Amino acid sequence: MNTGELSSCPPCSIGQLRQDDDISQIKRTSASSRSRAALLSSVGGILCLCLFTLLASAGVMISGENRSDEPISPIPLEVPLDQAKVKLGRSLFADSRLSAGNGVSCASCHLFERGLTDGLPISRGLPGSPGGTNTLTLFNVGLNAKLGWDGHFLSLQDQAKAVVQDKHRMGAKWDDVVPLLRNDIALTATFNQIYKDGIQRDNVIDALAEFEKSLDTPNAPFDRYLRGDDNAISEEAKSGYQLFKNYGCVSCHQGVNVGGNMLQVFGIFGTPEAASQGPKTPGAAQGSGIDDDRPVFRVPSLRNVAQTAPYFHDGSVATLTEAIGVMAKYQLGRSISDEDVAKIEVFLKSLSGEYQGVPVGNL
Amino acid sequence: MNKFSAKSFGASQHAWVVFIAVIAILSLSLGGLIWLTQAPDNSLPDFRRQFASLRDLESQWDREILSLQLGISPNYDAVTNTARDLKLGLARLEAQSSSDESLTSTQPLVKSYRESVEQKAWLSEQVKASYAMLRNSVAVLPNAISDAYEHPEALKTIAGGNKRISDLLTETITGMVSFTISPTVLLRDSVEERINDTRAAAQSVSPELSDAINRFLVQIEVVIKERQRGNELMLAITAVPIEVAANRVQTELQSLEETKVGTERMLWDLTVTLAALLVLTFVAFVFVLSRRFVQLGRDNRMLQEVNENVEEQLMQSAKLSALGQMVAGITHEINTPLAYVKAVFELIKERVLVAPEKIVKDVVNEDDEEAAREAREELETLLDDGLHGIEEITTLVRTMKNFSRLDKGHIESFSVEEGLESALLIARSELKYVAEVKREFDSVPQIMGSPSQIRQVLLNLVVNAVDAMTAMDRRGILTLRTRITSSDTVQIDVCDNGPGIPEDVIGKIFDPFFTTKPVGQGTGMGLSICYRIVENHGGTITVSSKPGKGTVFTITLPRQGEKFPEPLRSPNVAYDKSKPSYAA
Repeated sequence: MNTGELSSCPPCSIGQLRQDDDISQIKRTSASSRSRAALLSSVGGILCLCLFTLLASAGVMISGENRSDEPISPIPLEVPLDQAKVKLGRSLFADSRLSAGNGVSCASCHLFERGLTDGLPISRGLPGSPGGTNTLTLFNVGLNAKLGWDGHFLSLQDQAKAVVQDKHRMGAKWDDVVPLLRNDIALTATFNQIYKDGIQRDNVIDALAEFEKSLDTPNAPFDRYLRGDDNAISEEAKSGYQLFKNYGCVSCHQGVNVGGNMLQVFGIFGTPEAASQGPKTPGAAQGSGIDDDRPVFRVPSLRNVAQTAPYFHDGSVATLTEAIGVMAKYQLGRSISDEDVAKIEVFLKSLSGEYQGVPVGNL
Repeated sequence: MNKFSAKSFGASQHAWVVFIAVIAILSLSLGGLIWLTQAPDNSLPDFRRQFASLRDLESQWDREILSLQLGISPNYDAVTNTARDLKLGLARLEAQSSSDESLTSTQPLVKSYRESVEQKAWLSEQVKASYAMLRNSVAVLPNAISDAYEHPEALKTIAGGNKRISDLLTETITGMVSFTISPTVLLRDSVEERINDTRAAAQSVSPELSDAINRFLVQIEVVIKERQRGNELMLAITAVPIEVAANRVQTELQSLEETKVGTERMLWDLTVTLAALLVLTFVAFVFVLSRRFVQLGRDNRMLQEVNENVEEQLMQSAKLSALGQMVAGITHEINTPLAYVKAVFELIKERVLVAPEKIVKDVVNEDDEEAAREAREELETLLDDGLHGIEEITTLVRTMKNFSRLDKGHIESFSVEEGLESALLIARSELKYVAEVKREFDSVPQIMGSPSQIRQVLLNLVVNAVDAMTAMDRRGILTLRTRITSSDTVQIDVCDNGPGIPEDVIGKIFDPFFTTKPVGQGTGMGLSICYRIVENHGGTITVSSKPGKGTVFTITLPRQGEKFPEPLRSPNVAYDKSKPSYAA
């Protein structure tokens, strides 16, 4: 265990304890405080021990160079894709023939100006079948190991196949959609150029998936910081990141997509209003085995979070500040000072990347 | 041996067909087998490869789950991505095993393997969530403690006891630590007791401290719960029968492979056997064929011999029959000189018997001498005439004798012109009423050959010409021509100015049994035999005819006789063995 580890180790490290304001306060008091301090130190030592036993976390080398051992990794700058398929997928993305009655297309709820969401608390759905959850952003969707609020789908193809037939979303049937598309001569020609067997359901899905994979937003300021550019983010953001780690937000919001790769209980400490319907809350994962009494959701990605308000599965929280507060209270069981919340917010804002060179906020 | 060859010969007419049928069947089945073995069936190797790579992925996943449990992985990306890839790969594999006929036996096993993977993944998801909670709660504890210790009340002894709040807190933490290190039931009960005591004690203090303590206790409870849970999950993961399921799939694939190899081997053995059978049949076939050919050769030679014998006999009989036809003419020929001789003899008898003194009388006077001389001269003349007539008969008889001799092709040197003359002599009786004879002889040298055979040919041609001109109402001309050609052959033309041979007939005249004469008059063998004889001598016989104008038969005969070695060569000259000998 080296110094690097020690410094990242939340409050357990003895060195940090010395710097802690609270501890210095304690020191200022009388002899009883000295014994208190001794008690504290011993407790701290024991905690250190337990943490070491439990955590043995990987050493975080804070260097000016590549931060490769951070729990968050940067989005890859280049993704090899078939550009012809991407182009075709883009046109299909905005094609309302994929829905029943020619009503909506994917782009109806995933708008570029709204961070590929619709900006509404709950998605509109279709007449007679309203939506149940907040629209998730499609930015960096290719980097999610689990898809959807319930983390049910494992691949973009499975999700695209299902969403077209979902009566709350597109409400169509593939058996109707495919012949409809085949009537389009220009589209058929384009398909025939790319796919041997022309317009087939799996080929339509394949083109859509290829397009979705092209929706990455690399080069966020924080990504640049991870790649070694110390000036990419402000000091406030850097300390916000430290707090993000220390408070434990990073235990669930980790990985290349700052989330999107695990399920977790919503409302570990207490029940937030959004989880008031318990385990059957719309959008919650069923049969995960994680908790029987409380709703379980896939941890969403925090990339471009500044552009994807409102937040949570029911879009019940409109601002980031509020969201951070809810998370701290109900997921970490802590109350965080406004200062810290502000720092974390600055950090979260640095997670917004660029889509085809244009910052997401400017789309 | 004879019996076998006779049997095989007799049976080989059928054996031909049987053999060919057997060979055809064997070849077809061999071709079919080869096609079968060549048809590549890649589905099993592909499947095995996919399964092997999924197993690799699974062991990678195990390593990542272990890192997760030990807390040494920086984030959950690796383990989640691997789990997802494994699940998707297994879904594909299962779909393939149910759609591919040769792999259906693996489908239930792949399904159970997939289910155990899903089970493990489900458990590992819970591990992730639990671990995150555990980690966060542990991380929070120091702050929670310091929050509690901020209050001076924490160090006060609790009413009704001898412990301070801080002591209780310490005990609780120690209990928690012990439990986390060794999660036994005993330690759990112990720490829960502590927690309850602390909670109870917290009620008696100020709300601020109470609040802080309760928050602290809640975190401790999360730690306990999740540590317990983590333990149970880890045990449950090891209990998932993933290895067993995977091994069952592997075993099944192995047995499928073995079956496939077995089938292939069997096919191969069958192919080899069939090929061997084919080769054997072929060899037997060749053997039978060769015997048959040998037999055929023998039969051929025998037939040839018989043929030659028959030819000879045929020629002889043709000769004799031709001769027979000449009998009338010949008897007439003989009759003439015979009558002449008879007349002479009668005259002589008269002279000698009636007036013998005239011949042998003593000579008295000159008149007597004169008369005696005249008588003697007359007698001499008569005797000469008689001898001459006898000579003629002799010649005829000799000619006929020569002609009818059954010779075995005795080779000697002879003159074709003499032959022509003999032919004319024999045919003279008929000839003199029918045609004039024109001779254009070039004094050709003698040739080597069988004189009787050539004479037979020439007689035949002359007789044919005579027959042809008989039908005409005018006297015909028979032209006989001999000359030597540039290539040292003797050419003989027998020309007549008869009616000629029509075009539709001329091609057939050398055919055996072909005759234009009515039944009984001609055998039809004459010209075909002539043809054979001339061929045997190494010569050629051709016919040229113009209906209304006449016919020319042309014979060419080599002077030296390619087929015969010249017997009268001088001893100094080397005997030419290169020339083929005349085969009887």
